[in-house]
Amino acid sequence: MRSTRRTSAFLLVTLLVGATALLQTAIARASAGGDDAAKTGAADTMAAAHAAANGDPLLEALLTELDRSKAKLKMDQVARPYYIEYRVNDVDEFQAEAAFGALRENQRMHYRVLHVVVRIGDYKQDSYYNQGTGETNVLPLDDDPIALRHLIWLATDEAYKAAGQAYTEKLAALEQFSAEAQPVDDFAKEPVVTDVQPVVTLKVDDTAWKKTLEDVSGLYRQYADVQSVSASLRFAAANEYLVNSEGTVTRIGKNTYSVQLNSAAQAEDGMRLSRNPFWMVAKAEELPTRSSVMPKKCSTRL
Amino acid sequence: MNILRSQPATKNVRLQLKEVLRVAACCAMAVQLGFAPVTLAGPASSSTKTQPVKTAPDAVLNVMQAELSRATTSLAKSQPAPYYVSYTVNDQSIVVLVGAYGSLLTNAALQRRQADVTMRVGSPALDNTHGQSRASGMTSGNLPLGDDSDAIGRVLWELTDREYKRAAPAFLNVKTNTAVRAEEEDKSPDFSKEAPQTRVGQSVTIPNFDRAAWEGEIRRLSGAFRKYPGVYFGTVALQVQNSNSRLVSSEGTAIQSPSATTRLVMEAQTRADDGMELLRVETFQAPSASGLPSEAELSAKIDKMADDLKALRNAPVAEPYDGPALLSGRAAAVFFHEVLGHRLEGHRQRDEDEGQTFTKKIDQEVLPKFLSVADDPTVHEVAGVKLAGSYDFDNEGSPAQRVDVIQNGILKSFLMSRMPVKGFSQSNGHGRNQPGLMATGRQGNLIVSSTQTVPESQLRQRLIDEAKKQGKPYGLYFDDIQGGFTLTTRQLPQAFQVLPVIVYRVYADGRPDELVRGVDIVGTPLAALTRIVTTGDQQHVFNGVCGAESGNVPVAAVAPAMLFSEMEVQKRGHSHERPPILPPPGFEGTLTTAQGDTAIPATQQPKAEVKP
Repeated sequence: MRSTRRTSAFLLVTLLVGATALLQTAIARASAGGDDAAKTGAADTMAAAHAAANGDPLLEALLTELDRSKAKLKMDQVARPYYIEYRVNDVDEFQAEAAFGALRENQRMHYRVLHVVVRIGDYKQDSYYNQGTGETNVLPLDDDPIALRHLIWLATDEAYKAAGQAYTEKLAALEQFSAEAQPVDDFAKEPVVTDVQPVVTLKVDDTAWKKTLEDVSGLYRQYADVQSVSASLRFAAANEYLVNSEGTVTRIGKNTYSVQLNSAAQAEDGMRLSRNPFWMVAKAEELPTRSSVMPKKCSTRL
Repeated sequence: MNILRSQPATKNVRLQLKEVLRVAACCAMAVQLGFAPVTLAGPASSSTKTQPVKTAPDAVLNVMQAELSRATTSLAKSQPAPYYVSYTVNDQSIVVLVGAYGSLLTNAALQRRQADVTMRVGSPALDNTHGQSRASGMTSGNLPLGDDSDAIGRVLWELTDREYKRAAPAFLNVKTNTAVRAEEEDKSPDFSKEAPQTRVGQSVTIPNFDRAAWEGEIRRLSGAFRKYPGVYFGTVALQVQNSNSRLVSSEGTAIQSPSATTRLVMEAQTRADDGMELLRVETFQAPSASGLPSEAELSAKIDKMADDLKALRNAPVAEPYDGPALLSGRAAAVFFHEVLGHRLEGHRQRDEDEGQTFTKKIDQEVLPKFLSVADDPTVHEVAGVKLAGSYDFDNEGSPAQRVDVIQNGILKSFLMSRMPVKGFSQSNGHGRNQPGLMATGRQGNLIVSSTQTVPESQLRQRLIDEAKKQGKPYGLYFDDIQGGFTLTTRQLPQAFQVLPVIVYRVYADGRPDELVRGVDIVGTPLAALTRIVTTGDQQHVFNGVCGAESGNVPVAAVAPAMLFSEMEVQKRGHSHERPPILPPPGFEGTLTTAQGDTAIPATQQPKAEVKP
């Protein structure tokens, strides 16, 4: 079942590799005391988490399933999770490429990918090992609560079962070694973070940029020595959501705009020569102007 | 090994694949979306029509011919020189919508123009594509999308240059290897001489596609699974694809092949208490989205899929068995595709790693005399169903031909590409490949016909009679299958496996038929093919996508239901993961676990009927 779901969207998942943005945090500390105080504190924390979600359908779906799993996810012979984490990358991106003055690629894409980590054991020693490092699933693009929760539910179930197996395997593996007790914990307990930033969107004049790519890659006509030339761009708006059972709720949005030119020639002795100017900025207004992208005398430099 | 499937790969099938991929080429026939190895994406425009594919006057074809002429002239002066060059340019416009539980998982469109540059260096008797060097015959890349002749020409020039630099050293290696290795048994040339073909200026009628309306329908259809807590995962996927393929060659061939296909796949999964994954898939194919069944019909299919899964989850696991069996028409079609069809592909007759089950059986009886088999890509429809394996020209530019491979049980021919084999020097229009891979002999529409038939309504009784005759308590009826695979290399047993999903025990003593789960049909081809006792009187169609050495190609298999005197089934390997622990969202208050149903009384189980 897991494999099939991934089949339908596995290409989308692979595109996310390396696209994870680092969290910028604003920290709010949570207090804890005895059991009752802890329960009250936990309830307060999750209430604060829901308040922070402020009606965001995706955050609400994540928190609803998080609450349910924290309260009820338990198999015979397997401990309850002590930690559950949901991370979602919601990416809207535009990619285009032109070669020799004509557009070769032109695509706009929106995808959401969920990564679930369920940890069994405790902070000192837990199940984060082999298959216990989490499950990945594609999430619906619409903000339908049931559809979102259904896929979160399935991924959580699989992550919990995998964590159970991983924990057993890890303990068995550790039995084979006579090393001293591990000097550091498996997982750091960190303060709760609440940071729900505005959602970023992708606004770009794709028509103008496509023309720029065509024009710049069309300059090969002026330089007979240039063997290949292409110009490409990737503009993306990525909103990363993170919620965990400790009460952390974040939504961090980032835009990235990258433009690259590629040209290659060959010296008479056969040596391949290339020039690949590259720009990457965080704001559309910081993108290079059309005139600065157009290379000057690139053939001569090659 | 070759695999035939009617759904996206399940974990179970993937495990099986992993076990065998290391030893053999793999073929998968799958009625599924997402079979094309492309990143599906594209302009997120709200356009309600797919982008038109350019037709005559075809600027792309013109630049292909001009660049081919320039390349062949200039490369003729090289040493070693190519004796054959061809360009294939395939324009594709694809829209993919995938829905789950009332929401879209994927909503993407893609336009791409892919070029394959094929080059043969040496001579038709021995060239760079010989033996294991076959991949050196092709270099592929993406071309600019518009009609800019200069840009298209420059990229073709780049690809041609890269291909020559690949093919020329490969030819020198081939010559050396041929000199130092033992003589091959089949000394046929590497490339057949064929007459050039011309067909250009074909008009392309791009079917209207109301994307916004279909987004709504996919959401609604996939939302129907929300009614069924026992269906853990359900998707509805639509793929609309318009293509325009062009081929030009240094022999003078110039062919345009426009096409349009729409596929809808509905898939539902659950898991039995013992961890066995259970799957139901319904697929539909038509030239355009308007040719698909109505939303009401599709909704009814979803309800049936959910009912089947509920029944399967409560069905007993079948035990290994050897005895009489009845295959529905669709199951028999897959059986023939795997057991026979792949072994009749021409290139397997000269590859010395292949089992060559039928290579030396020309003019010998390989099937009961009442059966004949043809592969006919020129037929477009059977029994009211459009066939997926139809085409006018194969990917090497040879005209499609009906090939009567078996007549009245006697083997007569093979499915030939332009790779000759002993006794068969010409192509018969079955050289097929997916873009980016070299063509080999492949199936198109494999059609099994019979002269010994009984009405389908009598087949169940014939199965009971056969069970009684053999003293067996029951026979098996295979109503629907999800695919299968076969091993054709000689390093492994010449075995096949067909993967049924709906199987009944039909008892000889009159007890009600009993639905069972968890068995696969297994056997070896020469033995299995001779145990067909009789067939039904109606043809049934299985449309799918078949993958092998030359990639995924659409195919159809057509056959009547068949009664076998003996068939062996083995237990199916499966996961032992429990069903989900918590109830699905939306059922928190009504269910304590995700199972969502109780055992179904026998009287409410689906009844066995002999049907396609």
